[in-house]
This record gives sequence, C-alpha cells and structure tokens, in this order.
Amino acid sequence: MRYLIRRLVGGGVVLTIVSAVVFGVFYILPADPARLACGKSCTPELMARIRHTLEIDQPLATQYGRFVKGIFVGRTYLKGTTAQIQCATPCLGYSYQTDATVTSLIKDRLPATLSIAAGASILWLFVGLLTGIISALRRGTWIDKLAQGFALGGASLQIYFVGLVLQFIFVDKLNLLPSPGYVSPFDDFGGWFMQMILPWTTLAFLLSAIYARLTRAGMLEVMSEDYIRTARAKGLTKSRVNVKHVLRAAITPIVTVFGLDLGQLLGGAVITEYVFNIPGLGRLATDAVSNVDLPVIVGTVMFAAFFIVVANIVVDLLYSVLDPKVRLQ
Amino acid sequence: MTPFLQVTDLKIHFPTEDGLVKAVDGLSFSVEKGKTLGIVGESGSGKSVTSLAIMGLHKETRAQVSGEILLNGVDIVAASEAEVRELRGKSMAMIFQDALAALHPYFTVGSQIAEAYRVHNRVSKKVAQVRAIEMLDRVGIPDPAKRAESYPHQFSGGMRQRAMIAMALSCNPSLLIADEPTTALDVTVQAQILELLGDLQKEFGSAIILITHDLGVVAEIADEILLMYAGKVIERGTTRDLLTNPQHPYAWGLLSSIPRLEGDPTVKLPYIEGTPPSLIKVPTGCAFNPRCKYVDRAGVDCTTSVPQLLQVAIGSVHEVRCHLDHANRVEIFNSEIRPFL
Repeated sequence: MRYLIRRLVGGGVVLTIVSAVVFGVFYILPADPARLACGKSCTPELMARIRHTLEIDQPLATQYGRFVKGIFVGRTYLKGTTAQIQCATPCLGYSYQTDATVTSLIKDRLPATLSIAAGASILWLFVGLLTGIISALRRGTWIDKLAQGFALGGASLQIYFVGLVLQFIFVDKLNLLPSPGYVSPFDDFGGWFMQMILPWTTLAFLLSAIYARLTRAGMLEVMSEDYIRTARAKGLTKSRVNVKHVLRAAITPIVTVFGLDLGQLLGGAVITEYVFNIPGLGRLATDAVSNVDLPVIVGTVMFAAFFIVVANIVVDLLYSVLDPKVRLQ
Repeated sequence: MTPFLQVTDLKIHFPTEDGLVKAVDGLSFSVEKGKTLGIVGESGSGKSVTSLAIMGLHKETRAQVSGEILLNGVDIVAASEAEVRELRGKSMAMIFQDALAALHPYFTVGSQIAEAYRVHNRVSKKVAQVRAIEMLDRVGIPDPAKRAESYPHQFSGGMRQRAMIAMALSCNPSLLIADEPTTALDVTVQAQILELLGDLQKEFGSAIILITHDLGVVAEIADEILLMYAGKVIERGTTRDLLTNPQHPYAWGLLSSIPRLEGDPTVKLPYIEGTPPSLIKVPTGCAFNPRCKYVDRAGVDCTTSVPQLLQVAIGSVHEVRCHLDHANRVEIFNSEIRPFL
C-alpha cells in the first residue's frame, strides 16, 4: 500500500514535469495563436482583445497555474467579449479553433483509439505468443525458420506500407471489406468490426512479430535453465515442462513489455489512424500540431503521458504478482 | 545379486563444429542398492554427462549415447523417452550442484516437491502437499508447513539443497544421483548435507551415485570410488583402496594436493602440472601422459600405447589404468607420495 502511494506520487511528479515542459515548449514557440485567430483583417485593438481572451497576455507561470488548477476544479473561458464557456473538471483547456473543450475533443476521439488498441492487442498477443512458443519448441525446423522470417518481415515492414497494401487487396481489389473509417460499435457493431479488421491486422502484424521474437528468445533462455532440467528429472512430460515451467518463467518479461506497449498505444496510434482514416487521439494530436492549436497539443500530450504513467504503475504491480522475488512486503 | 544399476561400455559423444567431443569413452560400472559410489574427476572428465545419461536426459540433445545402462533391468539407452520418463523421479532421482538455479524461482518449494510426488502418484494436490511438508520435515527443515509456502530465494543455501533432496526422495527412488551436491555450500553445511544423505540412504536403502571433484566428500560417505580422467576410468576401488593405497599418478597428484591441517604452511601445496585435456583432441596413448611425471619409468611408450584397466592384484576389485608395473608403482608411492600425505 505504501508502495502504491509512493508510485502514485511519483507518477504525479512525472505528469507535472511533462505538463510544465510541454506547456513551456509550446508557448515559447514563435507561432502566435492570437495572430492566427485574428485573421486577415486584423487590427491592433482586436489583436489585444484576443490576446486577453486567450490569456496569453498573462505571464507563463500564471497561465500554467490556471491550466493546472483547471484540471482539478475546472475553469471558465471567455469567448468574444461576453460569452463564457464552462470547462468542467478535468479541464485540459479550450480550443478556440475548434470551439470545443479539449476534454470533450479527447472524449470524442478516445473510443476510436480504444477500438484499435483493444482488438490489436488481443490479436498481437495471441499471434505473437503462439508463434514464439511454437518456434522455440521447434527450434531449427522449417516451422521455426518460417516464423523467424515472418517476424523479420513484420518488424521491418512499416505500418503505412502493410496497411496500404492490405487496403489495396482487401478493399479495392477483392471488395471483401468496407473502405476504412470508423463507426461506433454501439451504432453499428458489424460495420465497426469490418472496418477495424484491417487496422487490427496491420498493427498486430508489426507487434506480433516483435512479440514472437521476444517469446522465442525468452523460452529458449528459460529452456536452458537448471530448473527446467530439474523439472524433466522429476519425470514430468515434455508438454507439462514446457507449458507450466518454461512458459511461466518466460511470460513475465513479456507481460511487462505488453503493458507498456498498450499504455503507449492508448495515447494514440498515429500512423495507423492516418492510414485507415480513423479519427483517434493520434490524429487529434497531429492535426493540432499542424494547426498550432496549442491547448489541444498540451491536452493530448498530457493524456498520452497519463496512460504511460498508469501503464508503468500497473506493470510494476503486476510484476510483483508474477515474480515472487519482487513480491511486496 | 544383480546390481540395481549396471553401466556397460557407455560412450557419450557430442558432435560439434570443431570435431567430435568424446565426453565419456567406454565407461563401465555398477551400483547396488544401499551402496554409495563416488565418481571423482576434474571438470570435463565426464562425470556430470554420465549422470545425465543415466537419467536419460540426453535423449533430446545432440549427444550420441551408446553402450548399455541397465536400471533394474531396463536399458535406459535403448528405451523410449516415455519409458525413461516413467522411471525419472520414481526409480531414479537427481540432485544438482546449484540448488538455487535448480529450483524454479516462481513456484513455492512445497508446490515443487508436491509436483514431483504427483507425477508418479495419483493423489490430490492436498495429499501431495502433505507429503511435501512431511518430506521437508524429514530432511530437517524447521517449521516445514510454513516453509513449504516459501520461494527458493527465501531459503538459505543449505535449506535449498535439503529441499532438493526432499524433492528427489519424495517418490522413494532406488537410485539417487547427487551431482556435486555440496560444492556450493560452506563446510559445516556440507557435512550436514552428507550426513543427511547417509541417514536417508540407511532409511530408504537406495543406491547413491555421488559425483564430485572433492575427495574429502567421497571419503566421508562413498563405499566405492571411480576416478575419471578424460572420459575414462583410470582407477577404481573401494574408498579405502583409493585413499590409502592409490595406484595411478593422477590419484597421487589429487591426494597430494589436499591441504593438511598439520602441514607446513610455508611449503607450497603440490599440484598437478598442465591442464585437463581437450576432449576433441585427447592425447594419444594414455590420456594423462602429458601431465605424468613417471612416463620414462613405464617401460612402454605412454604416448602411443593405450593402457588397459587392470586389476591391481589378482581377484582384487581395485583396478588401475597405467603402464607402470606394480612394483614400480609401489616404489614410487612409498618413496615419493606416502611420506607427504
């Protein structure tokens, strides 16, 4: 429990630093959001008013203080001269360009990113582990070599290549799948599933290749351990030795990597989202960058950082369950 | 009475890119129930490889095993993996040098012992757990019910080796192979473990093969000793024979290099010159010839002529593989070796 509290405090510190750095970097940028918002027929008075509305006439520390405060208690933004926008807790800022709170933007985009992450992670974990296990058990055979080739291919080919090739084959040529995009599974589950097949496959192809190599290497390493010889000396069957003793030891580091990968993916799968035209968090962030929509950039970066911090804590807790040597007091 | 384990002309070769490694080259011995055989030799002499062959653990490696290993009438070399698996743990069991590495780090000690018991006994997990606690108690682990829930890293070195012994003996095997069981332990714990092995042997009547490089260890519990060098037996006999009347120059070297309590601390301990031979290019003739001080007294060319394993005296169980004739050996031993032992 004390460990957990310590980790949570540590995570909070990390997020504070990330937010301060991101805030600092983007607000120091030469791009002036007020200038962008002002448009072509800009007058100095209008400019000053916008600067005041956007609060960029305040010192950076004040802006940052208000931003942090907004996360915990919400805040109110001015719009024009009279209108006020309520931004409820957790308020990550307000995007004047899109006329929406960053929180609501993230909320809109999160389901698409979640859809990609959930399906792809199940697929890559399954395929990656299975391939890795089989090639470790059949080391040196043609199955192993085939799996190794697959892994090399998966790790070398990029998402934007595999994704486009798959789209070309299954959508354009064979007409088996609908053109890519995103619908909510609650509106049209079948359509959602069909549209998600390609993103899942593409992302899983890359990651399962990495996991296959990781699993294979882990299994082979464990198989040469003394305790595996002990297990065999007990008279256990080969399959029991492999499944219970080898896999149990080999899986621990994989769980760790999986947690971190998943955490990262939840912050947005930028390339996959672009290739398959899916409005997820990654695209929200990159679009914000190209539009110099600073509040959205800060918000999405913070959100992604939050997932990574959480994933780290979860992985460490999980590790203490999986490995008795690091079991907590 | 036929011995429980009879090994005849065992050869274990490993094909490698550099050539054929002859880890064991024509080894024969036998062990009876209730007896302890010590196999002694330095690293690479073929001791551990032999023990793995008896357990049939070479079956899935690239090792080429030939000869005959009869365990209670079943030939381990010829038997299928499934047949040998049935015998592992049940008829023969093994304990290893490094008990920390030999125990699975992610399972409790109790569950690992219970698993060994359940492999050959159709009982529930609960019954097996009771058996595991019983075995831990038997090997002298205090508070066994609580310690059964511990993980190997929470045990001390001596306790881990005790746990290994408990696991090995859980199915009451007739043959126990102990591969350097005390090497990783400090001396007082060594003595405790050896005493425990001796006690358990009396209780269960099993045959023990004790593999070690430490003559002090075999002196304590072995009935017979097999001295190996470069994959071959170079001397064998009762423990008494080998320790008080060694015949082979290699045995002399080993015995001379043991420090004595009453020895002069300023005198350098003698050692055997040279290094163990490469198993790919074993020296021709007598494998020990490059390191032997008495080659010129043999009367035959030790570098070309291969010595046979011959009885020291007619009808004796004491055998030696050396070109020196008996009279020469007695003379050298009495004049150059015995005074310093």
